[in-house]
Parts: sequence; structure tokens; C-alpha cells
Amino acid sequence: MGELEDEFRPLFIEEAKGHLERIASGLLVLEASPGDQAAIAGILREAHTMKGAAGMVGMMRVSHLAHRLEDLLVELRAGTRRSTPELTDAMLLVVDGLGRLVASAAGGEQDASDEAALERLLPTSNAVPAVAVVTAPAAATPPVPVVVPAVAVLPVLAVPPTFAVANSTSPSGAGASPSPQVGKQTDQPQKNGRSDKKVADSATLQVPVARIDELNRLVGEASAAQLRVGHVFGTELHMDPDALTEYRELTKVINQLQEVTERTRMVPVGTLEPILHRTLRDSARLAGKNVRWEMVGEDVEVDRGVLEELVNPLLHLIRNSVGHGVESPDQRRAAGKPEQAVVRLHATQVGSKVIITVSDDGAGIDVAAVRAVAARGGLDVSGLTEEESIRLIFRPGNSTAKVLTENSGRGVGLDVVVTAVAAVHGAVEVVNHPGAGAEFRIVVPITLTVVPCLIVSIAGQAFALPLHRIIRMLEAQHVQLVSGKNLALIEGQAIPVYNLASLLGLPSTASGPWVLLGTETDAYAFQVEKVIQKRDVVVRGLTGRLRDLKSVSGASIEPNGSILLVLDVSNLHERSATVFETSSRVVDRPADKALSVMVVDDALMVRELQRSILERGGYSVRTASDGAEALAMLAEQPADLVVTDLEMPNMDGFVLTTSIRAHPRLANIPVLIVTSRTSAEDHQRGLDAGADGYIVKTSFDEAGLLSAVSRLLGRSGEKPADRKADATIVTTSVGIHPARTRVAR
Amino acid sequence: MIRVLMFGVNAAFFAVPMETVHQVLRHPVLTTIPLSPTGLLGVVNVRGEIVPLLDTGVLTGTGPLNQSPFAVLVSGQKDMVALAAEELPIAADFEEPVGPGTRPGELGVYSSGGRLVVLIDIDEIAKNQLEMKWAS
Repeated sequence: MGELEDEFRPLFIEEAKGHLERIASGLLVLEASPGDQAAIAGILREAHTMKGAAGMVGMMRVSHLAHRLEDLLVELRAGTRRSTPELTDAMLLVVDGLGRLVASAAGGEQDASDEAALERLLPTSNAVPAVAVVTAPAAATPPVPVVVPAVAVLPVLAVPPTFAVANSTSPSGAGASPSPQVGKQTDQPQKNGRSDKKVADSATLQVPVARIDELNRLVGEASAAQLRVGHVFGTELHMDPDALTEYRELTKVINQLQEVTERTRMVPVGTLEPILHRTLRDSARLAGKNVRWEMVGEDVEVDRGVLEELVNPLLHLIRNSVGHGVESPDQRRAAGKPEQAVVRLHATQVGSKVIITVSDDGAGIDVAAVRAVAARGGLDVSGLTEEESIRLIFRPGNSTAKVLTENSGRGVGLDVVVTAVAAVHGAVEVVNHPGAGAEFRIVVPITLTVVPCLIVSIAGQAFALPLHRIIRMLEAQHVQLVSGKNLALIEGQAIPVYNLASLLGLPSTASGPWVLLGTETDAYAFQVEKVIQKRDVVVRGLTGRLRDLKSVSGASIEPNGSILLVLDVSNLHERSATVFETSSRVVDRPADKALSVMVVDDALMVRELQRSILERGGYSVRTASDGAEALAMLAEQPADLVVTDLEMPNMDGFVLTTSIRAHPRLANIPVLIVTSRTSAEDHQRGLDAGADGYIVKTSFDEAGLLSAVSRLLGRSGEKPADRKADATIVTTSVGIHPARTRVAR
Repeated sequence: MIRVLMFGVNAAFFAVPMETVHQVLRHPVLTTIPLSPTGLLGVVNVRGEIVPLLDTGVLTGTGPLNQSPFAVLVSGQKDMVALAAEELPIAADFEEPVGPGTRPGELGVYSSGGRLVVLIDIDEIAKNQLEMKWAS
């Protein structure tokens, strides 16, 4: 190979993808409207250009095949050959094969495997009267067994081509003999050919994805560096950087730069059109159905990474629509529908999400059949609503292939769609119109690079949990060990609770709030050490060797240069399934750590007396001299129990109790009132404010205080039922409010 | 002659070809990864890139390291990795090997100032010592 060829070959390879994409699109247009001269001219021009360019860079086999396509197109243009589905099949397969030849050349491989087979697919031109060659065997020709179309057409999407060469489609007598050279082609000017539309719309430049990723990385780095500079201004120069106009300008520009570079990662949904359209066409041919393709919203943009992940789910949904949704032409006629069905892809942007809908005007989902299959599989379907029944099609093993038709070739259910969509933080919804069609909606975030997260602390390290997986946060609740799982009763449902530190193999630390994850019907909770904040995290995927890590789905470089890890919640949930707890590792208080009590009294003597009693009882004690001070200290660090006086300056015990109940993080802390007031009215008022227990100082003694405290903390080892019984015993000295046995819940 | 960077691991010495070395990090700030496989000490931020810090003790079979006061940043075939080093790495020139390597990824044993040093191929050794274990 000459030097010139070496130099230009990569350029050709890049260009060839575009040529092939446009040829494939053009062939589909031609199939829909045979005789469309503009479409023929467009394809012809692409094939001709490709032939010449391939020859120039020494890729003679590519050049030869392109030339064969060109010959056929010339005949189509002249009307000496008719466009038939079989011819389109053959030409599309050759386009796929060309894609493979080009791709293997890009990888430096030599691939001669199917070149001859490819050529045999095409009918010979000129030698035999063309029309006769194609039309005669057409009726007997079995459909082309293309399962997944080969993709040479998506410059940005690396879908592994699975190419099936079907010798059976080779027309009789078609040899590999080169056809006579057709007269010199003049490039037809093309004005309204669909294939050139995208190019003509706006000036575009093909840029390798790696370069865009690098650009994004560098802008992110510039932004982090700018934040560091701002930080240094504060720490070293004691200046507020935002007071400087220049610094503010820099911030503004960098923010804009970040927005613009983010957008370079966006690609229009329309880039998937060729592969989706092609899949529809091929599966319709295979199933003997007449289906039209429609696409709306090609210009809606979505992050390249998200779109890449959607290719397979969308292909699956389209095949599903054709295979199980759309009826045969006879059935459609009988149902009074037009013979030609429609499968439609509609993309729209709603806020920061993109909704991609695959709908058909077929028979809809046969809910009764879905339920029957699920029931045969041992599932109790009696209580399921219509909507819940439809969602059964997403259950693994509840494949629609088995449900709706006998044609169960793939054996893969729609559960793979849900799984793949969930991987890009999306969801799938179904709308069923019995008799009139079905609609599958995929809702995904536009970008995966900025993910709203909950930042939590586990064993002293900060981690991010993607917010879209989180139902809500809640305070630690009472748990019970039931057959190896710690269960908590939350809103009438037994929810498994896992200590996230133990799950991650980190030292299990002090108790903290719970994060409820999963779905409303399949929820689980992780106990974390502390919730730090909610915020957007610029997540970068892990590359190279780090891609194999299971527990982490991504990471972010923080402004101070540290690395924040984003936990893979699904993986942790899977991992939790194997956990068999032998002791209650999820506790609202760690067993090995002293429980903390906050003592609030304005009298120093009383405070210190209570402190010494409680410390001797094994509690760690902090004291405050009034309600306001106590509340501030609790907000800083909650306690396991508050013991408070009623009469105090600044904020009295009633207000303190009410404030604790109203505080989101403190609301569940038991409050014990220790007072000299003996009236039943005060007693009631204290309990109404939300106190859990009431001790009268006159009958106050060491044993009484410790007993009340330990009872409220549920610490004496009694079962919850026992505590409940206790709760009803109201003595003159210690009263536990029957309605407020919060710790016993 | 081959220019290398030598570093100490568990009182033994190993070397990587200098042409693969980007830089040496002093006191790399390590972010540990929960449930990470054997041989991965954690990740470090190298100018905005998240780079794995490999436990050279595990790589070389000399026993896990507890600390990594230095890290040698090298480019492998697929990605950049940081190698944990217990002492400040030293540059040296190797002549002929004095013995063959004994394990996959060991390119040979060289003598430098009376010390025996094993020259390693980071990709090969990582493939054999780490990735198989990671995958399982």
C-alpha cells in the first residue's frame, strides 16, 4: 500500500460510515415509494462516490461491491429493473457487509470471509433481463433471516454487528461474474433526497468521541481549579474572591463553558433512526406483516451515553411491537383496520427528561393471557389490578413471546428492557389500548453526567447515593430480627433494613438515619451514619480496570480535589439479599456504645446530680441549662434521650419538648420530664407537648430515674410487648404515656 | 541498556521501564473503595483523572502493603495506573539481566548496586495477579 493510501484510508473509513448510512436510509425510502427518482439518484451518488474513494485508498473489494450496487441502481433508475422487497433485502445485506469490510479495515484486519457470499446476494445486471431475474424467484424466496441488522451506519454508536449472510436469497443463476462496466456516471444533482438532508441542514464536523470526552474532562478540571483558586483567596489572602470583578467574570465564563461542552455530548435521537427503521423493516418482513415506520422528534437531544444504552431496549420494543403487537394483514382486515400497521417512535423533552415512546396500532396487550402465564408460573394474580397485571410482562420469565404468540424464538422477556433502562436511571411505562395498540414509554434523564445525589457519611467517608433511587429519608426505627433479616414496620410494610457500613465491609459506626430505597412495593432501607446534604454531582464513569468494580457506579472530583464515590445502589441491594444477620446489626443505637442522654435543668445542683446518676448507669451525659441551649446542642448532635425540667429561663420544658417533636431529625428522641410540679394538669400538658414520661422530683430517686430512662430507651432487654404493658402502668412517680411508646414501636 | 525506575516493596526491589513512567506522586491522597478487590488500594486524583492505585505488594506476591507514601504513575496499555511504593523510587540503567523472571509479567532479574531488582511488565502482571481475581 502506498503512502498516500495509508494517509487517506482512515479518512475514507470515517466517510464510508456516512455513505453507508445514507445508502441504507435511501433504500428504505425507495422501498416505501418505489420509483422515487430522487431517492435512487441519492443512493446512486453515494455508491458512486464510495466506489471511487475506496479504489483510491486501495480497498478494492469495497470498491467492487459498491460498483455492483451502483450497477443495480442504474438499472432501477432506467426502469429496466423494479425495486422489490427481495432486492432491498439483498442490497441492505450488502450495505451491512460493506460496513463490516470497512470496520475490519479500520481495525487493521483482513476480512475476506463473506465477500463472495455478499456478491452472490445481488442479482447480476444486464446479462439476463433484469426484471425476469428478480421477479420470477421472488415469490418462492424465503424471507431473509436477519435477526439484528448489522450496523455500519451509526458513527457514534458501537452496536456489535451481527450479520447473517443468507445464501438462500441468492437468486438462481447469479454468479460472481463481474458485470460489464456501465458508462461513466455523472453525479446527479440532488435537491430533495432525504439522504442528504442531515448534511445540508447545518455545517457539521465529525469529531472523535474521545476528543469530546477529553474536552469535557478538561473543562471540569478548569472549573475545579477555579474553585481551588477561590478557596486559596479565602484561606491565604483572607479575601472574598467574589468581591473581585475579574474572579466573577471567570466564574461566569467557566460556567458557560461547562454548559456548552456538556452539550457537545448530546446527540439527536434521530441518529438511531437508521437502525430502528431497519429493524422494523426486517422484523416485519420476517413476520410477514405490513408495517409502516414513523418517527417524530428526531431532533430531541440526549446524552450520547444515555442514547447508547437505549439502542437495545428500543430494538427490543420495536421487535416486540411487530412480533406481538401488530396483527397479520388478514387479522387487521377482519378487525376493520387498515392492512398496513404503524409503529411509531416519538421523542419529546420534558424538563430534564426525555420521553421516548414506541407505540403501535396493533391488538394491544392481552392482559388475560399475561395473567394466565403468570398464574401458571405460580404467581398469585387474584388481587392484581389491570395496571399491575400489565406490568407482569416485565417480570423475568414472563416473556411476551410465551404469552402472546407461539413464536418464542428469542426467549427473552421485556425484563431486559427494564433492566437496561434502569441502568441509565430511567423507567418504563406501558399504556395499553386493547384492540387498538400498545404504547411503551421510556423516560430517561437527558444526561448522566449531572446526577442529583444524597451525600451520606459512612464510617467517616462521604458517599453519594443517586436520588432517583431514593424514596425518602427517615429516622431510625425499631427493628426486629426475623429469619436472618432486620425488619422494620414502615407504613404497614415490613421493610428489610441493612447497615450500609456493614454491607460495604466498613467498620459499623454510630447509629444514624435511614434511607428508604427501591420502589413502593419493593422497598428496603439502608442505615447510614449521617446525611450530609442533597446536591448535584458531576459524575464521571470509571474507566479501564476500575470499570469492573461492582459497588461503585461512578465518581466525582470534588472542588477540593478529593474523590467522591457514587455507590451502585442496585448492586448493594443484590448483595444485601445474601446477608443473613445473626444479630441485630441495624440498631437505632449501637449496643457497644454508651447511650447518650441530654440533661436539661437550670439548677446546677440538679443537673450534676442527674449526671452522676446517669453516668453511673452507663450513659454518656451532656447537660444544658435551658431549653434553648439544649435545642442548639441537640441540633448539633442528637441524643438518645432528653431529660428535662419544666421551669427554665429562655425556653421552658414544654416548649423544648414541642420543639424537639417538630424538629425533623430530633422528632423521635424520647423526652422524660422531671419536675417539681405535681398537678395532673401539668402532667397532662407535658404529655400533650409530646413527652414520653413524667417524673415528679419529690419522689425522685436514683433507681426511679434509671428505671424510667432505661424503660424509655427500651434497654432492659424486655420484649416490645412487655414494654407496652409497662406503658400502661402509671405510678405516682413515673408515668409513661401510653400513646407515646415511640421506642417500643 | 534500559532506563528504569526502581521502587522498594516489602524490602524487595522492582522496576518499571522509564518510558512508561509519567511521574512520582509523594503522599498520594487515597480514596479507598469499599468492597474493592485484592490489590486495589483505592483511587487517586491525578489532574482530574481518577487513577487506580495498585498494591504492588499483592502484584509482586510479596504481601499486601499497608501504606503508600509514594506512587509511581505509569501508563499501561489500556489506562494509567499508580503503583504503590514504600520508598522514594530511584532511576537506574539496567544492562543485561542476571536471571530470568519467575512469574508471568516478570521480565527478568537485574543487578543494580549489588541489589537484585525484578523488572516488571505492569499490564502482564496486573492481568495475572489482579484482574483474574477481580473478575471472580
